[in-house]
Amino acid sequence: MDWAYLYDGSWEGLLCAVFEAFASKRWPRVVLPGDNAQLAFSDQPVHIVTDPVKAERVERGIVRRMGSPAHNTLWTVFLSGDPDKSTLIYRYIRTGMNKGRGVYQALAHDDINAVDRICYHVSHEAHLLHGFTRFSLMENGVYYARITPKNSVLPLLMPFFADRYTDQPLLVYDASHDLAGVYDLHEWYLVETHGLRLPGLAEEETACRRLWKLFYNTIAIAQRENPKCRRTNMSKRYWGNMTELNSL
Amino acid sequence: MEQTIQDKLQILTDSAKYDVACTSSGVDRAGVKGKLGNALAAGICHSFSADGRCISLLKVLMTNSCVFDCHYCLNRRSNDHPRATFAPKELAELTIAFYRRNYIEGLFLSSGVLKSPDYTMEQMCETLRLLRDNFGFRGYIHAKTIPGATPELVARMGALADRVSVNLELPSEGSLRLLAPDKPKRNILRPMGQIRDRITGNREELALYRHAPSFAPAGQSTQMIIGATPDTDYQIVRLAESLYRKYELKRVFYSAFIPVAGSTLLPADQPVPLLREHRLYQADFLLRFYGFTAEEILSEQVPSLDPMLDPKCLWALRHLDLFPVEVNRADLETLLRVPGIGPTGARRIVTARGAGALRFEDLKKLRIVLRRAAYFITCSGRYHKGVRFDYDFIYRNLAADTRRQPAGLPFAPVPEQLTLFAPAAVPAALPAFGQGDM
Repeated sequence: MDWAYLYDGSWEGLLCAVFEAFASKRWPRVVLPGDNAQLAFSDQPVHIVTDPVKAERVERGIVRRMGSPAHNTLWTVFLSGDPDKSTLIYRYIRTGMNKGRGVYQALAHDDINAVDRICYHVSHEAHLLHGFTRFSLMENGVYYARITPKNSVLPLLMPFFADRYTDQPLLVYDASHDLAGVYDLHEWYLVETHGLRLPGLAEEETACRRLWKLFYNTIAIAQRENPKCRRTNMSKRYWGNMTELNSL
Repeated sequence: MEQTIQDKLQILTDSAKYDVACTSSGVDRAGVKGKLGNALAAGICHSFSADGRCISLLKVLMTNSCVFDCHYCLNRRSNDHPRATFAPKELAELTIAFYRRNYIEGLFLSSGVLKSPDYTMEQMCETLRLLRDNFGFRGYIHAKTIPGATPELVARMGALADRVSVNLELPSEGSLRLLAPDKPKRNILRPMGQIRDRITGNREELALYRHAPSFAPAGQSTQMIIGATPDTDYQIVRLAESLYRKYELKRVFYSAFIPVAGSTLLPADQPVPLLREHRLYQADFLLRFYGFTAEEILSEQVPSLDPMLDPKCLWALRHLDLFPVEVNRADLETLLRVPGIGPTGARRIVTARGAGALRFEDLKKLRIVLRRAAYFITCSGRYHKGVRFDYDFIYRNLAADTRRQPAGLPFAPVPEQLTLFAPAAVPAALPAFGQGDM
């Protein structure tokens, strides 16, 4: 019999699934967020009830046994869009509880390696979006940006933008996850959205975009044109939200 | 007719586009309430232009008017070319408008020489001062000093910018005399030495007083043009090495010469030596991150880098007696010398083998480039499947690896069908390419 653990899709829920596995010793084959559970014929589903106390215990266990870098890695991987992430996080914790601080050496271990790879992918996308995100000044004084990332990277982006633009109210809208990051000059927080109604652009916005496009088109050296190099460094999936690559 | 900001931006960007450096790295600075901006040591690329180069900073000239007459330069006095000059306030406001929208990481400011080097430097410093004082700007600033400016102005610039650079322009004094008669060597090396001494002094001040004002915290860099003069790769790599050692530069940038200026002293109608530039950067990285010396990479006898193979592969082939390297035992320095293993990969290997002996499939998981590394390593005493450890075999396989070949090879290598009896067409010793081949 294979066990399949179904949780509510939250970080706490996932930690509770891990708790359940360690408590019952019924090691699951897969761990899945409940809503899109694709079970195999032989899978026996177990529905996990989210309990903040248990989640907290697992979290503390991870930090005590493996240290906070591992906790950080797991939390970053939880932001990933990878469909297998829950199972991989569970397997990492299971292996890691065994190895302790040895997880940082076991780079070639399959369970550790898989999580490290996803972690790199998520952090890398966040790093790229530090640069590729474009704000527009709206008529109400808010700087608005739209992003469509593969991973839910807003929690990694918002601290950075809030630190950089301390005197600008910000709204970063993640259209692929229907989530918005808001910075109100005091703190930043996330809001779930269902579509977004935007105010008009500020007066100077169009002129500024035009200048930026002018700069972008002028800075390229025609004799050295290299479309492949540009695509490698800046994948086309980011272009849709970038001022300089779109019409005004 | 009055020039609009559009006209100026276009002219002064167009004149700045041949400047190479556009890095925003080297300094970590957190944001502060009431001020604008921060900086990240890794640097951030904000976009990539059609030529594939990173756009990190607003790269413009203060002015493209110039009293100098350097033959390689588009903005030289004798060239008929539209001219423009930013007012300091105008440029500072434009930078802030772009920065607030996250278009850029900061400002890269260079300039032609308007009236005199000192006057130009004053205009540039005024722009930087406006940014730092009036706008509370804490983003990145890279500024170029003007050759011939007084030391006081260079010091002022260093106090405002994160990175300052003095352009070396050309790789030898002879070339400089010929093509840039207004820029004697001492006018370039003197400020370079001055900046180095101030940076060193500033490090000591900061160690004593945490809040001492910083001086060019991201260090200094320089750039030179490749392919406009007959200097060899060997001379260039040696020069770069001495700049890193003597002047403690953070980066040396190489710029493949593009014939735009139409001077009779320059090679005309020659393809842009992009591949040569690429190979020089590879050699440069070997100097900075891999513990190589210039003499190991090239010599009087072999003065040019090979268009077919990167310099690290070439070095390894020339020193086959040092290989194969046992991955599970070799120290970090030895691992760094294996083609296909970089600084990150080498550190990963050293970490991961603490948890058990590594096999070839483990190396793949650590993202080691086995396409190159496989010929030079053993895992627990075993070669990679199908690898023969001999010169001909390795050379042919590395050269035929088309996935790694940069654009602009003089000819495409054809992987040949090996027959049992035909002698392999492989050079017995490493080919020495004459200069100008690339």
